[in-house]
Amino acid sequence: MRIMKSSAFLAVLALIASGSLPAHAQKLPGVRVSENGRFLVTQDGSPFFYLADTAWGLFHLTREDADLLLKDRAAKRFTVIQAIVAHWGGLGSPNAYGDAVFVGQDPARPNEAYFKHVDYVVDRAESLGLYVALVPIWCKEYVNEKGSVLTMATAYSYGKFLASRYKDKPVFWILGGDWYPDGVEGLMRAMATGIAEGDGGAHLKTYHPTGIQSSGNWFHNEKWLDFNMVQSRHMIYNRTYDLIATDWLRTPPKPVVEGESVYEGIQDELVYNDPNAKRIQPADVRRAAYCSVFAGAAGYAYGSHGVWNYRSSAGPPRGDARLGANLSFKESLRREAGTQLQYLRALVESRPMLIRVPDQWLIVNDPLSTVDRIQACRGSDGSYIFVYSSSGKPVRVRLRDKIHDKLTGKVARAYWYDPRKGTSTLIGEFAKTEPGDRPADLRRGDITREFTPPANGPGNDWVLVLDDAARNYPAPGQR
Amino acid sequence: MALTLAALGTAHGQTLPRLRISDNGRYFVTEGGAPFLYLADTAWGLFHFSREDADLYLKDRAAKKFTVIQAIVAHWGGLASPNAYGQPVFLDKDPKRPNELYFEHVDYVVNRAASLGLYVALVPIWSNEYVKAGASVIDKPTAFSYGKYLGARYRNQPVIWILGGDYFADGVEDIWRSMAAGITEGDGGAHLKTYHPKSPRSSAQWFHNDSWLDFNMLQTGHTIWNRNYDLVAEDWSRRPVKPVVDGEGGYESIADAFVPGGKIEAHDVRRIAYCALFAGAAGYAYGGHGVWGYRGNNRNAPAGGDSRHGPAPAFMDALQLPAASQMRRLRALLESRPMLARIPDQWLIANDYLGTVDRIQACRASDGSYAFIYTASGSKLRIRMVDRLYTKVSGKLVRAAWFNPRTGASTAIGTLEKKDFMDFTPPSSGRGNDWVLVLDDAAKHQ
Repeated sequence: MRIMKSSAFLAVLALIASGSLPAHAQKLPGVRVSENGRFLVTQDGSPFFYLADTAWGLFHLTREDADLLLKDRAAKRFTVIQAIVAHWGGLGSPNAYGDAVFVGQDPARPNEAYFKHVDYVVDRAESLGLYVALVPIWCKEYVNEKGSVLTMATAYSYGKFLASRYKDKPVFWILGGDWYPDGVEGLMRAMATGIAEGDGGAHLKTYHPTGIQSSGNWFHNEKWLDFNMVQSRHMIYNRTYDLIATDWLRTPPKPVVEGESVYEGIQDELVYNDPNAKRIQPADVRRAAYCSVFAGAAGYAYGSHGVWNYRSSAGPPRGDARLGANLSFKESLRREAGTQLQYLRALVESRPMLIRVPDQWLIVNDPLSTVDRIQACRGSDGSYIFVYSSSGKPVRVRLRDKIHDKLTGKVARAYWYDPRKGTSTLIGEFAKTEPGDRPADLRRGDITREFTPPANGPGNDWVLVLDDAARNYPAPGQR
Repeated sequence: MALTLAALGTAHGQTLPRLRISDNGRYFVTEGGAPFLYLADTAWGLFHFSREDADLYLKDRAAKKFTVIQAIVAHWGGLASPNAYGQPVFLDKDPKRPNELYFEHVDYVVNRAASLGLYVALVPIWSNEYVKAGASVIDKPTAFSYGKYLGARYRNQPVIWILGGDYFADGVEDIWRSMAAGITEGDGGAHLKTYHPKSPRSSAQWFHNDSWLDFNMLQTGHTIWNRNYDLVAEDWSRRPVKPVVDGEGGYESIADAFVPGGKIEAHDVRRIAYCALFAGAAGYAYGGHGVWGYRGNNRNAPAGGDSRHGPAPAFMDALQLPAASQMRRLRALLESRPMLARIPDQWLIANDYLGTVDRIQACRASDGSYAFIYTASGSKLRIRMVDRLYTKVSGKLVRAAWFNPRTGASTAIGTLEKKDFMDFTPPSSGRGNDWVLVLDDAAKHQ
């Protein structure tokens, strides 16, 4: 191929290479569950990393705002946008063009004009390489133990309507919506049945629960639930890794996605009306993201305060006063962690992703908890290890556990990966047994080695990357 | 304090009741359905003690309210190594030929234990020395016949079977399966069976779905960084549901991680024990350095032994290590509330549950009638009493108290109006200042 020396053309090439623009307006491939039941893959089996941004009010954005958001999120390497079809703002609440989701607030009568706008946004997302994860109706407001605007019949018919309409679009279905399904499990099942009827099972389905819960607590053994989703709660003391670990241990195995953890900039523990409340910092977000993924999650949903709650048509974002004053929508798009999570994606994609297994027993010393958490995973074939240290605490890694290699090969290659920048620094190569290893370990057949990150303290998070050098993997984060 | 059923049974000279799994699959109960806490002491060399040492030892452990003694039949000291009366376990080191005289002494010890209200958990042969892939002194037929011999001999005694012994089952799974089948053949399934692995591991790694495995056993690591709670949580999640016991945590006074210099202290042992049980274990095995490795040489002399483990006190001194006397407080606490309703719940803790050495570990009754929150270093606790729709601690009024794991004493905090989140500050803090916050629905537990 002849290289055209046009800088504009090169810029386009770069965008294509970075995945932020599709080469053609071709359709995005369907997504299914990997053969080991742990992760998501596209139809041809390529790993798919669910890295979502949360824009629950997406369908209440103007076209201009939606374009801005989708372009921004595509450029930041997100792969999914999470959005609500029937938003909590009110069934009679119109979108930016005056159309409400239902005619007469009746879920049996979807409003064609509203859905034409949804079509536009979903198509626009697809053209940018983004999947949309759709919540049909927000359960916290509309379908719960106190009452439901859906009947079994309308849950089914609305599900079928939606799925038929988006059968050939790159979507996921997220039932529920920030609440417990207690007492309305049947309605969720009816909706899932309607969706499967409408799209022939083309798209994956899950359920979004309230904080510190997983869909697995109610629906794990149900066939319609393709993967689990957890919400781990908006708190500095977020412990997403415990929820992910619980789901990882369920049988049969299903992927688990961290669907809502800590929104960047929101008030800690969702404390209302307190100007002195602590806010969720970028480091808290990175910690939740890395810990959930290293604990075994197949994906992570980010959220920025000022984006998750933005609705162009509704004035100031919901929770403006209660959950902490917002930046503007545009400024909220530029929050720090929102630009940094692409490095998590780059890291996990730079090693065989589908063989990743959580393994806290890689850590010999204290894995600590929450704010200083150390979280570890590795390739099940022993070819690589990732250890995330939230505040740069040293970590002693078990490379061999008596008769089992955690890292294969004779020579290990070590790097520090910087989650803030996506850059890596080669520490070097070392023989897996060499003087300096603790005699007590060697006698037992263990091999352990201590690593001290380049910097420590709050916000100084690092990933230790250890490779079996013989595998010659690219530098962390590179393809 | 309530007398245990076990103690009542022996008061009348009866044998101890058989044990089975509770209906919810999580814990042990006696035949009659009474909760049974597996609180073991570890005396792997018990059958190499003289009768006098065994008597002294068993009386001491019964008085300290242990319920089980863990001991090895074919000890790692060598298949030809004689017991205190010159008898090795097998004739000519042949597992097909159990030595009647050795087993008569085992009978004596098991009976003596029973008369004191103690169950004996028997390891038929120590895997770490004798049963490894490519190097096993027993094959499948011998495993079966030896298992059957043991099962039949102790069919009517209060025993528990622990296969394995500090090793991976990789490559020898079928030898253990044969032994399990042999034991069942011998005792008609009268006694519970498990497998003791290498740390940090669970029997479940190899045998969870085997029907002979009645409960899981962990070995969790002789280190102050012991994280048995993670292993217990993992086993708690498995299906089908089976109880899990931490069969070997950190032995009191042993060298931390077998690296000379460090030492596992009494407070580490308490932390490991409380964390195991509050994370959902059905039992815990304590071990004292100087007891676990003792084989009846000289009870008043320091044991010496393997330098990896650090200097061990003399047997007589080791019996009195502080945590050995403190384990009964844990038993008393658990037995003071409906034990079979206990579920682990780290989400009771709304603040940071901290790292290993300062760990906070929480559990509660599934009906919300009580909660126990252990703080290893007396850290401040913020408790989530209600989680939106779900009540964690029931009732409008909550009776709160501090339980002291060192003394067993409890100090009332008061009867408080329940709020969604409640803050508590332990009476003291710092390393070794461990406390249990006890919260009761005031209407339920008086």
